[in-house]
Amino acid sequence: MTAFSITGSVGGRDRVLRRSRRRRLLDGLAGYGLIAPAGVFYLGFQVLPILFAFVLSFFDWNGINLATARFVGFANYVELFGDDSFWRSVVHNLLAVVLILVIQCLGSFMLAGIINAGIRGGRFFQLVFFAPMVVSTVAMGMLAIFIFSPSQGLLNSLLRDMGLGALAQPWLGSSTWALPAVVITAILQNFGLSVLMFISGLGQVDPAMLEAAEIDGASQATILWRIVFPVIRPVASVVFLLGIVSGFRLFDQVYVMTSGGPYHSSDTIVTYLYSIAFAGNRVGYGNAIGVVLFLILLVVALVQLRLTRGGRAND
Amino acid sequence: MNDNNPLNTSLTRRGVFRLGGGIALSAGMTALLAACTPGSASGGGAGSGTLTFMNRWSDPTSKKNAQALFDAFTKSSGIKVANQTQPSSGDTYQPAVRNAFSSSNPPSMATDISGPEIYNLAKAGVLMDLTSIANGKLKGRLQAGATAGAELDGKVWGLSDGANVGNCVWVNHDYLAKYKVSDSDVKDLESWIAAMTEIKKAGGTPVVIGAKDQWPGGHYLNDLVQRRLGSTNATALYNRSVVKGAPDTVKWTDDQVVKAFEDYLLFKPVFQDGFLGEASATTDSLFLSGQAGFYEMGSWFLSGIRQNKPSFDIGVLLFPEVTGGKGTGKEVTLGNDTIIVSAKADKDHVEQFFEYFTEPATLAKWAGDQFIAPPYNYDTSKVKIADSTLKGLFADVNKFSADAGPDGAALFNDQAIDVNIYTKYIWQGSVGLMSGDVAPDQLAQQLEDATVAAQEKLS
Repeated sequence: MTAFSITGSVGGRDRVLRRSRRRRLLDGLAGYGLIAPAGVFYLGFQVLPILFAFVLSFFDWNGINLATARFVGFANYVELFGDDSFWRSVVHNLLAVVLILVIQCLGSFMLAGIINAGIRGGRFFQLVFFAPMVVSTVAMGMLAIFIFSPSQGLLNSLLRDMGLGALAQPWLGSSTWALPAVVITAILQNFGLSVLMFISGLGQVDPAMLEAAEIDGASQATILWRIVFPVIRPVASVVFLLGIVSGFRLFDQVYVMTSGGPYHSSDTIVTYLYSIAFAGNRVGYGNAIGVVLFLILLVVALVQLRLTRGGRAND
Repeated sequence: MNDNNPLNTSLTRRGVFRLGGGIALSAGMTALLAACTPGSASGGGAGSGTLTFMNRWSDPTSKKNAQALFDAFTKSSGIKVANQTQPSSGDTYQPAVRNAFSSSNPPSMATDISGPEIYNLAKAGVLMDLTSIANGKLKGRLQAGATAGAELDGKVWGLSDGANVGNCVWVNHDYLAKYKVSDSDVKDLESWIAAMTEIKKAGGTPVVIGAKDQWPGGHYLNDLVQRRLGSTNATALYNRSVVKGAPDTVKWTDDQVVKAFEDYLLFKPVFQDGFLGEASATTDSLFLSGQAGFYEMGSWFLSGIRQNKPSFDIGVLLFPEVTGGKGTGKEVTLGNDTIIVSAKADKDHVEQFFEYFTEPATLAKWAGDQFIAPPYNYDTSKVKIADSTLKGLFADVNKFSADAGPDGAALFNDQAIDVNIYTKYIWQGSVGLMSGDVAPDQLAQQLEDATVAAQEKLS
């Protein structure tokens, strides 16, 4: 009886274990089933195209019939590193990043500070600056064309009305001003989001600490650097990272407003990529440009991550 | 079984998850399989019994005209045509055609610009060889230009749906009269510039250009190179970037080409203020609202005139001849629009469509509706255009083509030259010349280097 009981007990435990294993298996399958639709789309429309782009960067292909693609090894990369137009585009992106970091990131921080200080109509300005965010970039670009038009544009008319007609320019047709005009349009569009993020960051600063610092005689600069900045560092990191990424990904506004002109003076990496791969039928070379852009952004993101972690460790 | 047993509740929840997961998985896989199955999409892809026709006739009038053509064909043949209209912008339309023809479910037919775009699709093996159709029942209907920019390796890969004359100069007679200038004074480039200088001195706007968009400046380079070289030499020059083994008898660095680029700089003082930053849509409206004397634009501008009829007396000239140029001064630039056919399309249906399209009555209606000249035999007196001004302007444009002579036409530079070369050097270069970022001889050298590299690649 005892032996039977023991055997029965072991068999029962096995059954329980088997049932438990089967249940885990079924649970696992159910989980996979649930994530399958999203997984299939993620694999199909994100992972595979990225891998495909890496592979295609080693081919010469006109984008029409894959059977006609020809393996060229690193030839596209070798050509890319000697391509003046590409490097000129990289320089333009770096200029865009600098302008974005200075105007958008610092400007939005200052504006957030002013709004956070509780000025009258703060909410209104918050809304005004955020409004362009909900407009499509193409529509924004079209609007900017009208603003910068030499004959009918708002900007030149304003300058003339203010007696500053000498400053009127063919903005989008000027080698000097086309890129800044495009970048400023892009900044205007993203400015509101940065302001909102900084406002949320500033909201986390403990007023009691600010008060205590003031009583202790700390200067405004010290308060900003020692109290405010450590609190908003995560938000600032995200704003700066988004600014850098948007500077490198600049495309829509350039494409709509200047098509990279005049004489390539506003070409960016992505507009150059587009003109090579989609307009120019050189999909392999275009993918090599895309891979290099991916690596640049990867390095930027890793450096940013490292700095953020370093900052946290110091805190 | 106790319903309050936690195990039961847990199992029930899992069952729901399993069921949901299973359904989601099945749905996802079904969607994926549907997306991957060739020709499974609705809408009658190639060979489905319905012809799908991708085109850029997207403005309301053109769209209506195209639909009328398709409906009439359906009525005559019983074959339906699915009208796939795309936005008209050249920047997006050509890539859209390429993408469509590289897919597993391409449209049966599509309009495309002639030249390298068609050569690339033909080389990739995605187009139907139309040689037998062109040499069959259509043979007696074709005129020169019907297959221009669509022939490769002795085969026909497309048939024109109409050509525009690119080198037209539109004239506001009232504006000129205000400044005591007449278009009859315009005999050649020099007299044209002289007339425009008079207008400028008197405070007027002689000519407008949307230089910011780059292609309008490319037009001037096209017109001037053609005037300087003549059509045959211009075509020989352009072919070097796209035709394997094309001889280098004419080079970009030749004197006449460099002079053509220098000629373009003569316009700098007479273009409107701030012209480098102006968009072509704005200059269309500036001219049509009577704010300039001249406007260089292809004959497709007739559609713009139809939509926004000007209140002034409008006329049209052919781009003036250039003294010292090798051309006759009467050559026209053709912007040929070509119908290409997928290799997967039903050949019998396609042949029926072309037969219907090239019937004289169909062509007369199409020409009048679209203001284009289909290069086929038809009675031009049957072309009906109700508006007398438009009718007169269309007759003038057709006369330019007739006067050009059999060898007097050349394809537009942005149809004839490799796309990477014309966008990078001709379109952008046209602005660079005006902004001073590049000198005529430098631009010529860049074009020559790029052309040599393109020819090496072809070889």
